[in-house]
Amino acid sequence: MSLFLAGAVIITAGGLFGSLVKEKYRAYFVSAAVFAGAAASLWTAMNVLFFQGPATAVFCGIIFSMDRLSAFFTAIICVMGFFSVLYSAYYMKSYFSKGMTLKSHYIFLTILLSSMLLITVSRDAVTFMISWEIMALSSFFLVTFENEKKEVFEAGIYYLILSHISAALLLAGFAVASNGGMNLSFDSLSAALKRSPDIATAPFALLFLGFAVKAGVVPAHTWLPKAHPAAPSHVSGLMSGVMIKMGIYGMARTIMMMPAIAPAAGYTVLFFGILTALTGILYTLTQRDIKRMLAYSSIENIGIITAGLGLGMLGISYHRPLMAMLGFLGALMHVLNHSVFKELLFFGAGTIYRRVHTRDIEHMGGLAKKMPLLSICFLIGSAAIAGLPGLNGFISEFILYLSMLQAAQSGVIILAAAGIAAIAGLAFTGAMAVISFTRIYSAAFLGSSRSKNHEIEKGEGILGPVIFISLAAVCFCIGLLPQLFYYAPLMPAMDMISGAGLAAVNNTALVKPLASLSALFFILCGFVMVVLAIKSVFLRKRTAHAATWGCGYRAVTTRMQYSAYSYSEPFTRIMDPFIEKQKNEIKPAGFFPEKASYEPVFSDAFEKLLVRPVAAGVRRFLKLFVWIQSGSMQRYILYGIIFLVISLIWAVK
Amino acid sequence: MAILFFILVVVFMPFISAGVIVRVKSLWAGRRGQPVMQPLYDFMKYMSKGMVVSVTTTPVFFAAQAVSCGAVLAASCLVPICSQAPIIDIEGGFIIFAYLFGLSKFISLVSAMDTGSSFEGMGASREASFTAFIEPAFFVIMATAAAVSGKGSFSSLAAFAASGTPAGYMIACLAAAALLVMILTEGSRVPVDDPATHLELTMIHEAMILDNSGPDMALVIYTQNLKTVLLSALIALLFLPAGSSALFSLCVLVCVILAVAVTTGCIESLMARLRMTHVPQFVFFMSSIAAIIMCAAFIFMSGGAR
Repeated sequence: MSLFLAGAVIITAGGLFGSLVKEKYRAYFVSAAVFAGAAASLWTAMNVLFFQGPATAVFCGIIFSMDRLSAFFTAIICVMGFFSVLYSAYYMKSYFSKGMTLKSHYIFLTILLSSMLLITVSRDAVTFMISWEIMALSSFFLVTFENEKKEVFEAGIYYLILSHISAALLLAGFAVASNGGMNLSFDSLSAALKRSPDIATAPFALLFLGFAVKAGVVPAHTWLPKAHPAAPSHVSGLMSGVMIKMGIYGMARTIMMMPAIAPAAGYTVLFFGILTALTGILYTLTQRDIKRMLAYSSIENIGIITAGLGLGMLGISYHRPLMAMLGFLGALMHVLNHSVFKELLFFGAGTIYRRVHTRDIEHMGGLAKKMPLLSICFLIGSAAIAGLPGLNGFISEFILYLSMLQAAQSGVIILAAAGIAAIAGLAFTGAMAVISFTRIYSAAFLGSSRSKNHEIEKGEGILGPVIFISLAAVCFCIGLLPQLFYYAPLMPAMDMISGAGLAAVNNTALVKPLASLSALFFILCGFVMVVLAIKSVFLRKRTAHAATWGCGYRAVTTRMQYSAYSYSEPFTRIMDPFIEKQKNEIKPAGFFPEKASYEPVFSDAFEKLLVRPVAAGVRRFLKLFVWIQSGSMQRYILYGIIFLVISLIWAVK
Repeated sequence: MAILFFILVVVFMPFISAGVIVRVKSLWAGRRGQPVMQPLYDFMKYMSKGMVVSVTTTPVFFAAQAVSCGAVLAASCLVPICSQAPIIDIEGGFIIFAYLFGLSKFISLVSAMDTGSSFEGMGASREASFTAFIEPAFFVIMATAAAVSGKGSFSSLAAFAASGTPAGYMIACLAAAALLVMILTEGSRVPVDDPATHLELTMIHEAMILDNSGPDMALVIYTQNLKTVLLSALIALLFLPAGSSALFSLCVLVCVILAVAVTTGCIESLMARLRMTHVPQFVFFMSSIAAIIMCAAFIFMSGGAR
């Protein structure tokens, strides 16, 4: 455990001492430090997860303790954090060649990593909130890296406000949970709630809400699509892949702290999970900024994870150990999987941005010819995130489906109906994800280039390809051999159900389906190979090359290709009631129309109908007090005198 | 024995089913029509041809149809053909089945977009949009069957009719109707799509494969027909009593596949393709049947219908 704390210190020190290193080598120096620190922390986490069980250490009078849930999240932070810092060495190169300094950037990056590590091992509300706040602030500074751009700064402020709403809810939640007691350690909070379970509802709701805002559960998701495109790509990958999962960690920790879970709570969490998944993936279909689209897809995946937690909670309240375990297992496994393919996709988007200088997929096209390796890795990432069999995304979704099937077979009518509805919701999410990721992949990489003045910068270096290949390989490994990798999330999932007093589930019942799943995927690979071989044998290289068939039309230009918008148009038209769309169009007029244009503008319905009005209301209310801040020094001195007089009267009385 | 039947069904039934559909259409048109095995001869002809590949494409295009075909072949391992147990028996097999179909769809869409053709883009866009509503409905039907039987595999489909009550048979018939809608949509048949149309603007699936030729074309057609056969096998499962012998199940299976082919042929001859804007309504039909099945099964389970 002291090794773990040493790791966190090494990571922070790496960032601090990195500012002494030459600009050119800084990224590599910090990467090396993060590698060393992450390896140390990972060693502890693996020990806790698989061998020795919970560990505790006292540092400066603060108790840090790591159980298997913390260890699981620690492992993800260590590995994915390292990849993110490593990728920054490629991504940030063009900034310092422009003469910008990256000293503070790397300091905040390492502080973000170590604060997340501290969150997972904090065992009392005060340490937890301090680490939480450090995480929120350091990530704010990372998001506003290019703060000279107006939209980046605005996104940063928006993110800062929502982070603090989250923090305020958490503070309130911990305060209510303590019920006036002075001991704020999680154990004593949990014990206090066990003594009086009837007051547990309010802290549960407040804590869950606070964590949901951080994770990006609908309708509190609106900060993600703003902050993620604004941040540098390695930061977006880290925030989306790892940081928002701290919200999930918080939810899981809250579930473990609660004495009992009412069915209503489980149904609510499940409902919001499915709603988030559906909303997130639906909005991806309307985005043309590749990073905004990926941010919405993160919202979708957070929804899937939250739905898994909801299923686990329902399993606890209905005393169904298998269903609870599958729900928690699926949720935690998806946390792991999503962190892998989301970093892959965000880093891919970063490389595209570096080399093509646009994030607008309508201006891309044909990139596969220019970046063949990235195109294959991006395809693997897209297929994995769409949950296709053979890759890791499918495994976690499959486990969640099994949990939902358990609900459907429970014989309790309302639970069965909820289970079947959740199955339908997840299936629809999967179907939309197929459209969404074929759309983004095709628009960016396939066909021919849509804009003429594309300068594709040369030189990916060696770093980018290495990272892409390793992340894609992880997607394949977990997907093909799930029976090996599911142990990592299984351990905390077991803890979560045994903590709730449910009987342990024999996990051999789960290894068998996963093993046959793995066998099926190898059969799938075999079939594909055989079919390819048959095709090649018959073909005997008799392949002619020609232009794409234009249906008899010879003057085809690349602008006639289907755009990303037109690809998803039939579907968004069907889903019209759920999408906020305005048209900026100039209709052709007269017999010889000269000018015509059409541009759809999509906005987030939750932002427009919920967040904006609420924000406007708050602003109106606060305007009532604007007169207090008059700007004249005399008035402020008057306030001081009034305050002194009042406190004098108070004291005398 | 069962494995031999399985191979026979997977290898030959797709061609026979396609041949029967064409034969039925010819009969309605007053012609004698081609031999039933003609699709197999066509397959061999396509296989022996060379390919013309667009210069716009990437290696994804070259591998796509093989992946698509491999995915549907792998899906066939999950369907109990000629016996109560499929080759790979997993709890929740129907989920993997649907996602393997999804993989096939994903890679076909990507391969269509790979050519950079506006027609193929249009076909891909339509196919993606219309089939998206199929999956949830299919899952609701399967999950309901799982809730009734307590098993999450395809053999649970037999649970509706196995109850022996009129309500059970009615639910089974509804499920068959829903699966027929799925067959017509996934198989790109009238009224969703017209495989015989000559105008690219009105095509869905045909537009996606404009640039496929030779062995690729053969694979596309085979995969498409295999999908139809596998989904027909699910209809057969609805009515197959538990514990039937392999030979009997094979007979039932072949009969149901032929019946579905004849029905498809009749629908194609007697109906016109729906307007593009009306296709989603037809696909939603399956969702509403699925909802009815779920409600009916719940009433049935809580003893209301007895």
